[in-house]
Amino acid sequence: MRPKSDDPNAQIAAKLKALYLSVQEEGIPARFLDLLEKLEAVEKRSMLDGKE
Amino acid sequence: MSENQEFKREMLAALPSLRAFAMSLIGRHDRADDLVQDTIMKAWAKQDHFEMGTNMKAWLFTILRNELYSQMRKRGREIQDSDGHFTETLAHHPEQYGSLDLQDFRRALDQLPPDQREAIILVGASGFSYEEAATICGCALGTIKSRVNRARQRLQEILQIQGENDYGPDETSAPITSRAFVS
Repeated sequence: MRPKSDDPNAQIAAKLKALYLSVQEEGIPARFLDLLEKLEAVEKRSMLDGKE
Repeated sequence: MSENQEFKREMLAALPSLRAFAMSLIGRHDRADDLVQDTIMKAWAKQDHFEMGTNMKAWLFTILRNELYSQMRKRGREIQDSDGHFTETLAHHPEQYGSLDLQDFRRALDQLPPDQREAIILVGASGFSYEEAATICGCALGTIKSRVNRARQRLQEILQIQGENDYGPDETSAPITSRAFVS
């Protein structure tokens, strides 16, 4: 058995995950949802133009 | 559902992790989100190259990483100047790192060479295997393993040095550390 909290690798792993999760749990900012909608709209429009 | 909608849906599902990857690499919300935006646009333009059913997350991470390094080459040493960059980071966004403990960790992470930093993030936080991380970084499996090991050693050294000038383990790191042993 490894001693609790004395294992520096486990401490590093936990902190790295905490840092990462703090961003991941913020979800998706509106600017990216807007961007994807715009990209999709442009694509639809160009597809329609192509058919005309 | 059209392939197009499915592509968009899979991309959305991978975005929170992609942002976390960008933020862990760069350390600044505004720059990280700009990089994510560039990545989305690149990926969208290349969506015909993506094979549905393969690993969307790994594909996006690869694009983001390539984009970051090509921007770094363009900007020269600006991003790699970790000392100045961290000072700037804290001055602008002191709240985004949560506890003091995580701020120390962030600072330590910033001191790693970029190749070691990305290796330990991909394997230790993004949930990729060594093999997947090697593919994303375009290097051999053994190279990734040695980068991760060196990153761990270096972080230990840095945090130990910081710890000696500090008050030892604090109440923030103690519960996080003990939780790591439960899961």
